[in-house]
Amino acid sequence: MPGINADAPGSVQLLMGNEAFARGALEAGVGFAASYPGTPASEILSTLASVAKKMNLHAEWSTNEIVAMEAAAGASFAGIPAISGMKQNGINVVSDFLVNTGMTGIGKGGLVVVVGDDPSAISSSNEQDSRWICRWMDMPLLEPSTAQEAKDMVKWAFELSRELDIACVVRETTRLAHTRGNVELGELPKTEKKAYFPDTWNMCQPARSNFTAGPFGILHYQLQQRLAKAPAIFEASPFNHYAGPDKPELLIITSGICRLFSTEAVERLGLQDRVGIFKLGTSWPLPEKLVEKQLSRAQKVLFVEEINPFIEGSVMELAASFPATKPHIDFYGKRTGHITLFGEQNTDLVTGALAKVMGITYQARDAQYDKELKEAAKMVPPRSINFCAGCPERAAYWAIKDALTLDGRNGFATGDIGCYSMGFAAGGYFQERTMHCMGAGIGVANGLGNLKQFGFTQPVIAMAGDSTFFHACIPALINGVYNQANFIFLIFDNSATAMTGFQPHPGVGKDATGEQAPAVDMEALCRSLGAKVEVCDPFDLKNSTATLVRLLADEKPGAKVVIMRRVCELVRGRREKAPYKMHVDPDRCVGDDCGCKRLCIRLFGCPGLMWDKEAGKAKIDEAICTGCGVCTDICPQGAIIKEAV
Amino acid sequence: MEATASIELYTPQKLRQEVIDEGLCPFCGGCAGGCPYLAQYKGRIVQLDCCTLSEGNCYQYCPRTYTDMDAVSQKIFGVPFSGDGIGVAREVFLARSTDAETREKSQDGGVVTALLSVALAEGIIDAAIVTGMSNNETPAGFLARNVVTGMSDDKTPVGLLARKKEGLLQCIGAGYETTRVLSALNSIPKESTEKLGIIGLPCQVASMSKRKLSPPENRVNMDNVKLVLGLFCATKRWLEPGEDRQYINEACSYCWDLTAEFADISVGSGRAKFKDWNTVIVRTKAGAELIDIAKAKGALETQPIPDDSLAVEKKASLDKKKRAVKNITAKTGDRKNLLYLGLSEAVVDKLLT
Repeated sequence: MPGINADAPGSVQLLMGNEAFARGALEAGVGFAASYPGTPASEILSTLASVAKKMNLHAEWSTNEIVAMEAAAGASFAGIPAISGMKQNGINVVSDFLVNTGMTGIGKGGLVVVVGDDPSAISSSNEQDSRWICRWMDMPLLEPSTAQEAKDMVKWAFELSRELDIACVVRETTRLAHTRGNVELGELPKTEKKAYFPDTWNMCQPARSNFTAGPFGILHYQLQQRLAKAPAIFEASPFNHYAGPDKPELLIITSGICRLFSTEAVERLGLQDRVGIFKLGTSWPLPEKLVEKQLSRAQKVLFVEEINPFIEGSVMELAASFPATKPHIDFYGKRTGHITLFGEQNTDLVTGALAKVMGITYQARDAQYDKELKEAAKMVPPRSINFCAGCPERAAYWAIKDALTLDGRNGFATGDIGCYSMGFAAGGYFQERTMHCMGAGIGVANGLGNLKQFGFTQPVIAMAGDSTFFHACIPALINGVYNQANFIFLIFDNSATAMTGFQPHPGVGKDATGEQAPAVDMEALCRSLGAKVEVCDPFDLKNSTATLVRLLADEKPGAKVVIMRRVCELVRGRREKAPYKMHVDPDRCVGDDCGCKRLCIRLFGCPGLMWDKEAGKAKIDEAICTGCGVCTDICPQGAIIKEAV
Repeated sequence: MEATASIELYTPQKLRQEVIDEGLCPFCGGCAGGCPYLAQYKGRIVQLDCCTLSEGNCYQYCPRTYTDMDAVSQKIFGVPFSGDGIGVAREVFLARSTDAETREKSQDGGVVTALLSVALAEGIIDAAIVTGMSNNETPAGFLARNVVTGMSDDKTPVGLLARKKEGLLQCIGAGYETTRVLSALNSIPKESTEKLGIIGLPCQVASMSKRKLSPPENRVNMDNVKLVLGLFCATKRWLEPGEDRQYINEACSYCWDLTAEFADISVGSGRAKFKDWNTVIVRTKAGAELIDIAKAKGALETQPIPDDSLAVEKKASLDKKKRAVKNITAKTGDRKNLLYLGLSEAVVDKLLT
């Protein structure tokens, strides 16, 4: 199969949405790509990184989203087309910088922000509609519906950002990011790129640089003036189009992946002659004339979009300005409860909404189906979100649980997102008691650790992963040292950004393209800040528990750091064979009886352990067990035997 | 992982509610070790996780859960529990070790070390579970089986398996600290066939007696325990070394037993009058046989205990029983509710007068 950089205009490739974004960037002549991993947007950067050398492109995993965004902007300032992809949380992180690029402009390179929203928060701690940033920061917003559009619109977004001198936002949602579609390739530019920062100091005409934001209020006005050029451009955009009868009974206004759900819903109900679909690819600012024209087709409008009523609100705002002589329009959507205000949309949901608006009785399937479904569901064993077999984070959580319990002062752990966020569930023994954004565990601990004067005696363990440490924890750690907050900062150092697919980070010694890179020594860094640092192997439960217990009892104020260092078992498994062959001695295993009560399966919960119902004993699931050997140390009967391989 | 319903009251929780939270736990270690849910740590029993058994060893063999004293006494001595002074005694005398090194290292006369040495040498037992000092262990459930066999500078009492006289000598002087003897016993693999000797405080000997009455499953066979040596115990306890404050465990004020009445042999100090001697109470046939051998091997030097000294022991022992019953009834406010103490009416009447 030809690569993502195939120089084959007109040929068709089956591309994942995120790959299509990458291809679009390549066709736009992108020279600089920087991101921090985050589902559902991670593959944009990894795809670009895979062809970085061949395409003379700089691709990097940055320490966090704002650094990525700033780096990309720096390239654009110097005339190099630049892109940064991120998940919805990333938009929050970069917002402070982006609002300033509105003031300064983005240089001659062109700057595109792709944001992947995760409706239903399938791989997120929150659900959020990132489109709003375009309204409050005055940025143009594009919403592709298909992989083809993803490719084409990203390419166009570069042109648009240069034309308006504003960063252009392209929004995708999970289904577009991760489904594949046919993409007809365009041409790859052949021109050489030359980077140069134009606004240098001129001693004869000393003046401020265009790239310095504020404190001039006029800069905001100038931004609004630049953005005001967008609607005229959007009026003619092929990414906005209408399909359906000239005068439908109902007009659906939709964007993004919801256009496909809407089309399928109309077909499913056989309403092709009665319902039309106006698909908006340029969602902000609204091409008002075009929208007004489409609204004149029908007296009933249904909005179909994912998460917030963004287009719904803008269009109704516009309709409110229409003269009273215009025919009244009934609007349906999230405001009326026809479309949910949260979660992913799908064809079923949209079909239900459409049927309701059209007064059609619709039942997706007969009642018998649901009955049988219920029965079938009973056959699926209940499962909780859990760590992989052999995960060092499970072992670390076991130590955290035991240490806090032994300490006996109702201590608790605060955390954030990453694999270890599964500590909020049974897999991590419910030890994670707060979970918010990247770095929040240690941030929150800075508050909890300084409440002594209010009689607060509960010890606090703040947790973060290694990638998160570099991303968002260092200022909070400095704060803990400086303001003498009393907490233990525990870093799960598994040498990977495991949750999003093993992207490298500053600590691992490899860059985004797989080349050797300097590894930042987190241990030395923490020590240099004045924190007491201990390094534990989480597989050594005895030592890691004892270390935590000892540090919990240490009431000297100030942050203490415990690095739980053990490479992700999946990464290890790819490099080398299992260290141990595991088996259960059935004579020693007491199963459900006193002295165990199925500790390994009921509580420890490694998926490599299974229950032999007939024998009433534990056994090893050899297909899943990674041979880490940790369960040997939790078995009270010494029944789980590890043999060195 | 399975969801755990918490409606039923499970064993460790019952133990916590009825014993630990009620201030009755003497920290004997009988519930810990061999159980991943309970750990002995810094002067407390810590429940590490939720066990979902409704019947468990921890509750059953706790010396502070209900104990039918007559049944226990019948099992060990063939007579009901009398509630008299020092309990069932075949013989009481003063003794000391004939070994100079043992005497020098020991607190009193070194009788315990001498008896265990003889028991090991004669093959009466293969291993003695005694008090030793070792690393300040952080128990974490998974450590249950790790019976410590070494020593270190960090003085924390632990249960040790001593298989040689040298091992015993290292353990001398640990004295009256509460220890991890029983958790060490619980940690011995159930298939072990080693003949065992145990040395314990009265609460630990009481827990042992409950095991003898109704042997636990999935633990080392109680028939392997050939010898139970009891230490006299007043009511003072200290936290483990490393803690700077000294305190008296409230639980000890509810303890009835000064002289470890359910042991094979009980050993205490000769008090001030016979410094460097031990008071020895021989209670069972097994105990008497060991004493005979020890004397025959010349390991023990003995002398009769004077009547006045014996009277002091008896009075002190009876006083402890009376004080316990008084304290318990004061706590429950009910003369019929003696918490763990299953005593006959007659004995209660005797102790309350």
